Amino acid sequence: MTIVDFQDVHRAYTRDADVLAGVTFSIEPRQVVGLLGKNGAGKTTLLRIAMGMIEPQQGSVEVFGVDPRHEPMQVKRQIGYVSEEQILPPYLRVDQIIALHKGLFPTWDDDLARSMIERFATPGRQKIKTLSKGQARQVALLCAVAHRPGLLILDEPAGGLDPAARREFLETSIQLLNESGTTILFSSHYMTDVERLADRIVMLHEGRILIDTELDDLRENYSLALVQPDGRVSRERLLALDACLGVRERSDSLHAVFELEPARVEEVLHRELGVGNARCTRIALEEMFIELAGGQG
Amino acid sequence: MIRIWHDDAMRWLPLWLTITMLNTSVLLGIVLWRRATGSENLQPPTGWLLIILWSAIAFYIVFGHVRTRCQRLEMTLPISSTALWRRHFGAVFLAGATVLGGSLGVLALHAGMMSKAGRLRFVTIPYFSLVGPLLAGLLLAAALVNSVEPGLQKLRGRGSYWALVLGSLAGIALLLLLLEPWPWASTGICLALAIVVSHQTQRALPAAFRLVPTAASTDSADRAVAASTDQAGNRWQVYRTLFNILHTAPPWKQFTPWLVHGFGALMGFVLAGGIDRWKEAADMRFLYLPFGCYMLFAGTGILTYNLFRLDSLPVSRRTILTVLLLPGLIAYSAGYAAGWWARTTAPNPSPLVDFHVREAHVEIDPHAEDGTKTTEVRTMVWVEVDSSFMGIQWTGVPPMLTSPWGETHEAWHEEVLRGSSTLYFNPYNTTEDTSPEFEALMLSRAIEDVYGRTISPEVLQERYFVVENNRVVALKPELRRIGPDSRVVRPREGLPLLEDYPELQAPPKGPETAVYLLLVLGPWFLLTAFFLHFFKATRSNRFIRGVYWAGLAIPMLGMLSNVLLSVFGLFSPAAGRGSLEIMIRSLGTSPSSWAATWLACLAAIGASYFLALRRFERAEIPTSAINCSLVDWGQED
Repeated sequence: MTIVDFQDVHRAYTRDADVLAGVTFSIEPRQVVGLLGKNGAGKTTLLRIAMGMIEPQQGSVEVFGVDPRHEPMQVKRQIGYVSEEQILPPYLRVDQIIALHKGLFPTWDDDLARSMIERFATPGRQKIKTLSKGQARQVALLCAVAHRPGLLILDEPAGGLDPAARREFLETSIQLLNESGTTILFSSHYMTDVERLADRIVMLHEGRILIDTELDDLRENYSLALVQPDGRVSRERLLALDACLGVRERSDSLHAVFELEPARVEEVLHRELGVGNARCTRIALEEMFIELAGGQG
Repeated sequence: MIRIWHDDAMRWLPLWLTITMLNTSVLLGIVLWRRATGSENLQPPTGWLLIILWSAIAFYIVFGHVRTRCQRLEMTLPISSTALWRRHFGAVFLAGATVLGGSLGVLALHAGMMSKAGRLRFVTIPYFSLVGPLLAGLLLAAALVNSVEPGLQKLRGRGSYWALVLGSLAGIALLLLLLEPWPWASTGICLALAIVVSHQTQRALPAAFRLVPTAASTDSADRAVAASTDQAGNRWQVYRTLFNILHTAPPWKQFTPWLVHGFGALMGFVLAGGIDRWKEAADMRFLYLPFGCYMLFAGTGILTYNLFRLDSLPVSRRTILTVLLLPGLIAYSAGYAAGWWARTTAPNPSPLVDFHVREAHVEIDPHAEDGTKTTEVRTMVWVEVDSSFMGIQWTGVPPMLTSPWGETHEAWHEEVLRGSSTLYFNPYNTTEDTSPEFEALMLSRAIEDVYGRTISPEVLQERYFVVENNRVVALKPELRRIGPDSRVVRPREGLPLLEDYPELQAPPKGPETAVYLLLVLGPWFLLTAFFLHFFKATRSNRFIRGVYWAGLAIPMLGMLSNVLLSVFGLFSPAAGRGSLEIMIRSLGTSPSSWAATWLACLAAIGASYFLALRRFERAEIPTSAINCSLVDWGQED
């Protein structure tokens, strides 16, 4: 069964400014999908639509086969959610928060919760507002995963954490994935985190999906070509090529991202534009993000 | 004066000015109301005015943004702590003085309105006796509040701080009241104390302010483990935590539910007529109907602050709305029940039928061309019945009261709204001169209609009236009861009807509770539905907050228009209340109509609640807190 299915999802907050302008993709069980995009690309909106917290103005969403706006309880019981902001009540104690989640999720796993509490050394009597940012994130993660959700949604979960706390956070998520086969949909600005955790990436840009591919496929089949602009080569001519995803103009060169292996890109550039001196290399995820998301903004 | 306008105490001044002016208006209204029910002289004692104005200052000192001495940025600038402290001290004083000025303006406005209305005696404000002591008291309060923890950039709201603030404000109020006849003395004492305190505080200031220290606490994981494994996670515990989450909102955090629901319960008590046990305040009960809705809706808005914390959890909107509204409903209902009990068990209840004889000054020719008004003393007699037994005439023509022997008089009446054809009339009373037999007949009819017991007019006339020149001129002096200590005991003016005829039992007033609940709870839920309708991701928090205030303005305008229209003689609250009570009594004439009214009211309340629920189920809860509290506006968590 498909876990999440977005079909032509549109959503705007102000008139004539679509945050999401026709997003279509689905997530299968056990997949770990990293959602990438610049600030304002629509990542959080998409995740909140999946949670049933807001509804699409056009298109449809199904989570576990049902519309989350129509069956919010059924959907939310199977989801663990860690938001970008700290939304745990700051004046409640950690033990009160845990007891609340235990009461709300019928599938709460005491053993998993206990192991996470011990691993994080979670201080039970302290109020959330007295915890460090990392500790508060750990409590949020604990509450999100201890009921063994079928889908874990993480919205910039490690934002603001130091590298050690981020590593701890990610390892816990990976461990959970390995243990119970949870499907994970997460957004992040940290490309190293995405590369560590995700096996598929979906890149949003200006409300649309720019790239939707397996991470391995991205490593093998995407290239960056550095081309000197001259009379034969321009941004427009590069973009007109079939496999070209985006072009960014720099002071002395054009950076073009292709959905092809480097050797094939050289061949295409030579054949189509007569360019023989292009430098083509495999592209890392972070570079890809900068070239595509940063270059067209 | 280093950027005094940037001080927190000044930045929010427009907000506080508005709130305190409204507060002063309400307090003065209550005082004038009390004076108006007691006598024709509305002039409140200077002490009362002093307390009203001081409460505006105290309100500002307690709830205003006076705890922050400077911004954090200013701590990084080369400005001495002394300069910053003086700036803040000056800002608090200036803001407080502005608040005082605003409230004095409100007093002056009320006095002007009273004089314009013309029906009541002019209210004068002794500015000289008020302004000096109050400004000096404010200076002392500002000095005392700023003397706490002189090294800190922002004062901690700890118990000791609040004890000092509340103690200082109460102490200064007491001092001003005690020395009220000698304003120079209270001014001098307060000024001297303020100078001493501020001087001592400045000497104690460090070279630079520091931030509030936060202590990291160490705690074991045991408790969290216990919460995860041992606690049952039962339903009631979940509800309790949901209640804590929703009801712990600014401005008073964990005290918010006590205040919000406390005021809700108080409104229930007032609207049920609980105050009638101590003082006749039936019109106030009617006028405060919109205010009851206002209070409940105000609490609802405040409690939506933390909704966003629950949006991702599997808690149904029905449950959230229940946790949001039910405590307020329970508090209001409990207050109403207490008020109903207080009213119905009051000792010496007023009889539903009464007879009064009073001498009054009456204008002979109010329309004299030369503008002079001449009055004469006349003996007024009238039969009084409970307002639910009065009548409504829609044609604009007052009904005539007739006797079997042909004596006919026009019924006492007044227009519900000036210029309208709807008349509120007394079917047993007339303003014209009547014979004693006619008055006795009217009294007899009233007793029969109200209590269902026949007492002949002859008996009543013989027993109660003193007659001279074929007019009732007094009630018989032997009606006065002599107490065990040989003192005259007349607990109330009028006839001792219930003492003389103990079998007279007050008939039920109709399904009053059902109607009063509907008139408050229905609009409350409808306003909540209106408010929640605008919970959309496309709406900014500022817009939603604007909707909330617009919603609050509706019942507030309802109440203010009631008061203003009655002050200017355009609307009679007594007639308005009477019309409502007549309608309520007519709905309770039989058990079936009683039950039908209850069912209809409950259905209407349920429908309005359902509407609010439907709006809430479709709402998109904002991702961050909406601070609807007027008191803590701009201080998001």
